[in-house]
Amino acid sequence: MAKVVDRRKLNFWEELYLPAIASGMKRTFAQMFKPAITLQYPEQRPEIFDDYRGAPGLVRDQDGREKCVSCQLCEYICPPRAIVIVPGEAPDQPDYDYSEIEKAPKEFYIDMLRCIYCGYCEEICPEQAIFMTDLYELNAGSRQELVHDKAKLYDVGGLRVDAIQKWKDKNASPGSEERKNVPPSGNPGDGAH
Amino acid sequence: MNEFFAEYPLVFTMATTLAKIVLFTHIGLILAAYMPWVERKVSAWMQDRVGPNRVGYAGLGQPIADALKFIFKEDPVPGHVDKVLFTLAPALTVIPAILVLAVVPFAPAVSLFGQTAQMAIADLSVGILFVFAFSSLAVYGITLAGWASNSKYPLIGGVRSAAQMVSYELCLGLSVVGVFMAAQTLRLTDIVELQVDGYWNMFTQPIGFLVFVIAAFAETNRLPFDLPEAETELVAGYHTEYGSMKFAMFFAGEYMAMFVFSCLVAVLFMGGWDVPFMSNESFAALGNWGAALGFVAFLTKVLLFLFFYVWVRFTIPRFKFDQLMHLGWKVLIPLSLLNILWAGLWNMPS
Amino acid sequence: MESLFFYLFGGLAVVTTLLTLSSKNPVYSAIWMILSFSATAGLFVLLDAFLIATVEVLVYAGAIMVLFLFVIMMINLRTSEAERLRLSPLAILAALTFLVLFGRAVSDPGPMLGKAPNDLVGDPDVIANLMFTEYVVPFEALSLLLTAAVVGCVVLSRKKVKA
Repeated sequence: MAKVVDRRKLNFWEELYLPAIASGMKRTFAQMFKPAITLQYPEQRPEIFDDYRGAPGLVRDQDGREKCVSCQLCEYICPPRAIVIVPGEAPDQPDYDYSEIEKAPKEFYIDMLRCIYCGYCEEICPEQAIFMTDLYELNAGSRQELVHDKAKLYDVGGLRVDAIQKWKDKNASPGSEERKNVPPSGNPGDGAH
Repeated sequence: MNEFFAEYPLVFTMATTLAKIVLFTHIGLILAAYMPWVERKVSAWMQDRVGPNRVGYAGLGQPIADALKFIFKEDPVPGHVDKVLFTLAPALTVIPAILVLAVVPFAPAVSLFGQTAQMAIADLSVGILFVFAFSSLAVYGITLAGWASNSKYPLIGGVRSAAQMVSYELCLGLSVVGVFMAAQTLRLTDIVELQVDGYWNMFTQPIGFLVFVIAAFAETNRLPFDLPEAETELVAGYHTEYGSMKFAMFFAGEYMAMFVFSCLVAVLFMGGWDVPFMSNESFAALGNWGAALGFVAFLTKVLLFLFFYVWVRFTIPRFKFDQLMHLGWKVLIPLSLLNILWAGLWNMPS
Repeated sequence: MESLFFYLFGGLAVVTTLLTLSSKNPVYSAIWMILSFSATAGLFVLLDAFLIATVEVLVYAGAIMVLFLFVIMMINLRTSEAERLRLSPLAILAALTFLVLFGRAVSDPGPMLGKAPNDLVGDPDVIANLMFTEYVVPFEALSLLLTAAVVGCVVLSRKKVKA
């Protein structure tokens, strides 16, 4: 059963449409004298808020070691399948006190043409090794350049000092007292680059 | 000099005519080049933006940059088009607009070297008819572009523009009948002089003015009547297949037509070069300064109307095609007939 | 100078008319026809008949040809199939009639031949005065006839809608 919607009968002035047009014209004219809200982009930058999801990057811990253990959870969760990880063995270092770590990525690729900036990789990462940074300008001369490899990803992510330092606390050794005093800092996402 | 020209008035006529052609068409062309800048600036202000501001002071170099870009771009001609008409069509939109400028009086007559020169390139006795004759040819460019492109959206745009321009030409013509009934002449300078001494036609014939303005928007394919291009539904309509300078020609044609119609509105309804509280005698008393004053007044009116064009564009949304036809045939034509009746009563010889 | 322009416009009119007839593509035919009308308008200008010249452009080149073009585009006629000219008796009759009339018109141009064009022919005043005084009855009768023809067209072309 169709519902009949009664239209209000327009009175003479409304039927002319001219008053409505005139009021619209008045509106646009008045608008001309309001200040512009344009941001002059390359010179002025938009304010990046804390939870901004820019290009994902891999981070190093406070000692400059790579945090990623190539568990491949991010590769698994990534909705557009932008992430490809080639797992490898962790480098064998004598003074490496995180001896539980067996794996490290040999290669780590994120195809930035596929990435949808959803942030799932950051959420799922058990090691807090991958973060969404505030980098939003990605450009390149070829598609290949926009597939970020491991070096580029560490470049994007940079060094990051976390409040919780999981491996360090587990293997607390006598020589690492001063490291515990490193002040916890940073919101997720403001990895320096 | 004075004696020479007194002896050979033809030389004087030819020289001044050439000068007028160069001057007036270039006013038109330069305004047509700067109208996109004005349009972008005004739209930016109305939308709380800045508009072009990179090339030169306040973006004033933008038209030049755009022109250079158009010149150096590749000029693509798709394989499926009718090559001759495809190339001809952009020119056909510009030429009628420039031709119409020939009869527009820009200022009171100027006296030079003991001779007087009318400030219209050709002050024809059939001025208004000339205007309609050539502005009616403007539709061919668009229609043929649509047809020659041999692709569906341009064709729809071309057919729409043919229907639209034929419909609105009718009320455009009828709305002016009142003006030359009042002036009892078709000569545009006479029409202006009559308004200088009397009232502007926009006050004595408000209905005719309204109809003319609306029809002028439709004739120039400007919003709210830009159905032939209608970006949202026809992907730019008749110039979908065009690029480079050919596209620029369509642009130039549209803005030239806007300029010409602004001139016509100024001449027919807003008293041409008239300044309030001036009469023909006071213009004549000022001599050539009067002509200069008139010229400035005329250009001011034209610019104001051009601004109005832009202002309307960014206020009123596009019509649907049935609304367009309804407005043209069932509203504007009766209104313009009413205006003829009104003009007849107003100018009844007592 | 004037005869130069006469031959220019006259030649243009003849050539474009021939092209109108010989073009296979109806759109090109229409365009040549527009040019032909424009050339005719040019001839009128040479006779100082500005009014008729502008009306020629306004009505024929402007309004009527747009309708032609509109119709051609609407029914989407592409290049017409190269039909062979068929001589029907009616066509021959029409052509002969035209030839006879044309021959008569050329052989007896009437009293106007050789007279200088009237200066006032170009002035709308004169034509308007004649039209609304001496010829007002034929003028109104013609417009009535045209209106009747338009109404007739509408009635004939209207689709029958079953009630």
